[in-house]
Amino acid sequence: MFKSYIEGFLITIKSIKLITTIYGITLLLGLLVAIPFFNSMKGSISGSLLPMELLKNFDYTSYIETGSEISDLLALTISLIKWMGAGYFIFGIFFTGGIISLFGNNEVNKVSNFFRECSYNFWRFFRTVLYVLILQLISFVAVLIPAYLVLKSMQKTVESESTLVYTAIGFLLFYIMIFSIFNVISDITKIKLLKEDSRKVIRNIWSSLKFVINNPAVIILYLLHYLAPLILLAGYLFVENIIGVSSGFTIFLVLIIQQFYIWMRIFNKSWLIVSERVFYDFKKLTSVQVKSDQNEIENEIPAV
Amino acid sequence: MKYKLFLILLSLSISLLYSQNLEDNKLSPRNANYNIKVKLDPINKTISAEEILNWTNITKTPVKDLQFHLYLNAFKNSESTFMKESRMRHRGFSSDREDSLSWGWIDINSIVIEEDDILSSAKFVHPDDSNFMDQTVLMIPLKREIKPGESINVKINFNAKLPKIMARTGYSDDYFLVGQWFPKIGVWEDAGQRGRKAAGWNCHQFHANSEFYADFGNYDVNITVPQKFIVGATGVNVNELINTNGTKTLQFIANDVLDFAWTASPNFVVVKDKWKNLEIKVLLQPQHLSQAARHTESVKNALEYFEKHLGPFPYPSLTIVDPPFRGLASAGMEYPMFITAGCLWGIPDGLKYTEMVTIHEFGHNYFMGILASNEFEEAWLDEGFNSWYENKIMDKYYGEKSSMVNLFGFRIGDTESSRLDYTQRKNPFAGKVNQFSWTYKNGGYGTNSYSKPSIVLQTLENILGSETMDEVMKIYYDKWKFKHPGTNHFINIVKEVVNNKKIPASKIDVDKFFDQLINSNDICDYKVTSIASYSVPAKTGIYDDEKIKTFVNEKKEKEFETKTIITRLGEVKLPIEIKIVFDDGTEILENWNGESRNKTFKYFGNKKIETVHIDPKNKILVEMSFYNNSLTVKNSSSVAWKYAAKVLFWVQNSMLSLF
Repeated sequence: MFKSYIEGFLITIKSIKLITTIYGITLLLGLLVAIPFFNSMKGSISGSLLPMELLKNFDYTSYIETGSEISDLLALTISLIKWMGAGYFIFGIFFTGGIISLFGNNEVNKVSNFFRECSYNFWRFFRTVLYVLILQLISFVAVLIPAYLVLKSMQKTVESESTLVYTAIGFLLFYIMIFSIFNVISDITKIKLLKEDSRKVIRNIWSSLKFVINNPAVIILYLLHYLAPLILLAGYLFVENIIGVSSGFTIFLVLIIQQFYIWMRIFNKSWLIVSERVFYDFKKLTSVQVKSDQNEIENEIPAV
Repeated sequence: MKYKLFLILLSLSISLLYSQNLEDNKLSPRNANYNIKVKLDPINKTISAEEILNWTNITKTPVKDLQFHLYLNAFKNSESTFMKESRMRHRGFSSDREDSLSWGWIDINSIVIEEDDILSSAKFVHPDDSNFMDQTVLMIPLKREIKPGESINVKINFNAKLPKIMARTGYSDDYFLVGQWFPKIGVWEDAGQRGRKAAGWNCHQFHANSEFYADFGNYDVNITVPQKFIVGATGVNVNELINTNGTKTLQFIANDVLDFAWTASPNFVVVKDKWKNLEIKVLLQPQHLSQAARHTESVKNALEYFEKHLGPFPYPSLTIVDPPFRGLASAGMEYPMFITAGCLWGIPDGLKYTEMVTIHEFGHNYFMGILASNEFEEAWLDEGFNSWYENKIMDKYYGEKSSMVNLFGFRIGDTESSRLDYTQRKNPFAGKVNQFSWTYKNGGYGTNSYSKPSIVLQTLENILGSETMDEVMKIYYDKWKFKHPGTNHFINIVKEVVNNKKIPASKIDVDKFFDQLINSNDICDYKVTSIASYSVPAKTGIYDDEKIKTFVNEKKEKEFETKTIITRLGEVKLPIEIKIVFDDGTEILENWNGESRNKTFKYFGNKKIETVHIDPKNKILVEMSFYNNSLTVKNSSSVAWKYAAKVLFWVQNSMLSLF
């Protein structure tokens, strides 16, 4: 697993150009929301001194009253973010094809090849994500209903609030585990579809499930990658708090740090997919190797 | 045996000595004195009791009947006034209609006056509505009048079933919070008292949006519970007897109080502390033991503040109850010397709910407990004043802008939270502050009883100054402690102090201030409408100079006419300060009486107005919007940049979460 983790990193680092391309697209889409927001906010709040309080620190009065003044703008922005999120969901599926196919391949590591691979794999990957999403939804309901019933009954019986909290956390962690397993299955299915150039999505989801059950280390690999952005985010919030974000210079500085963080998240996600690919290749190779060794042994047994 | 006899004699002596000491220090009229013996049946959730009320008519008017509150009948069925008004929900907790054990009631078995059982002549009355199903007020006709100054003994035998906890009363598993549990006599008022036209009983039904009103007295209460139960109550525990049937009887004495509540549970952990001579006892849930100091330290802060700014706490003990998780519907309630707070396992220190509720409920010992206003009719006199003190104590001890929340960079102050509760209401016109609490038909009881009056009083303090306001409060307290003050009593004291200090009417018109903010639902909202500057041309052209046409073309420094318009959007008119800052950095502080709809401030010179700020020190907290209180022509886009960068960052993050 760690070999895949390190090898995945070495491969991903060779594809900086492609990562930066994905980052550029993310930035552009983000700016589609941020620029109108900036213009509207500038127009809405210009004049009053109260919003200036928000420059220093978090100020509840200023936050609430300014928020109330720009509530229409906020509603519009949230709506835009929702649509943008839906659009990016599709982009995410699109990029995965290129990442699995081309990352680390120096000869074809070109932007045009990348987009060609993205387009080629899009439909089968989209179907994979859709099916896994349905499974995610079923698993969510399957965990949510018992969790609700257990917690509701515990509310009436247990003496200790801590037991209740720990049980809720237990259900949450269990769901995160199920969620992660399905995401890994989704990734492995995509890798299999691409490696075997197959279009049989459901069959590959099933065989990926078996693969994940037989190789649970891949889940740890996945969780390792999910932990990284959370740690980075905590670090970012800490740095933002220290900087203060109260002047033109500090706003610019924080903007740069934010964008670096976003770049790192894309790198991390690419690294995860590549690590899974390496892991899959390694396991596949080992399995083929074992099979061929067994064949050799069988061939060596003398006939009686 | 001798040892036991010695213990009994010793405890009796202590009890007598204690009563004697308190008798010497009579603080209140003590006209409603109760001696109650009550037994708890924790299995059936019932109590049975014998009550002897010694009541004195301290008015100038004879009494022909008695009226008693039977509050527990509010929980008897869905037809009680309380249940109808609350739609069977109270502060987020609902009554379990499916469970027959969840209902509560009180049954009177006998009422004996001068050896006559007069229960058969008693009837339920409904002074506030025509709901004949409501059984929360019992009227007993008397065979003879009770003359002014005369006393009467009423012996009442009753049983009660406690409800599953609702409205801060009842049981949850083996935790009992027994409040509003005994037949409590109403307040007999003279004509003219707190503005009433004729003498009569002030004994309202139990409403969803109302609390209580009662006379002062001495309470001697014996509570019998199973031996494993830990008991806390109003007053001092002066005696404890172990009974042979597996129960124990605890005697509590409380003097000069207007109510008595108690709690019992086998699970409490008792934490004791002391502040000066006051015994503080916290009855905690075992898993909240680590939060004991949050209760004791916050109440000590409150004690220190009240002693300095109002008067010393006059009682010898204070019990703070921490309800269990399933009994949280009993959290946040006040009784004399006995309050319920509320906390949850794992609440971080940065969330100050426990401190806030402890300080608030303790404060009620003063506002309502000592200054015994009528909570039914003038809820703002206790909730509003108490919220104001809570705001001040919280902000003083935990930071003006962080007293409620101080977590991960998010900070919320208690006073600002109260202000925003009022100013951000969708309908600030729903009800007014001085209104009977059950008459808020369109909502608004909470805001008009708690947050709005608290910020009205803080606004008054900001106008008069803290020293003057402390003087007002001390006079109010000294004059009305252990009595029943009304709104006008307080306003008269404010007027008296303002007159004595010769504070000019241009600064405050007390009657107008309260009329606008307490007796009406008008809002206060001033706005800087515009800033404009025009250059004034130098003198140029043809002028007639002694019939000779002369061409003039003066050369001088550029001059401007610069002005700002302030608009009064609301109907409340208050004197306000306006800070005007010019582009050369100079400032002017203008005073305006705030009367007209628009006011223009105009200046001529070589400088232009850059910024205008109404009430720059934010003294007028009742102002609906601080946002429109300022205007500047010096535009800065820094805030927009900062938040656009944040939006960009979180949009990108949201997108990547779906990648």
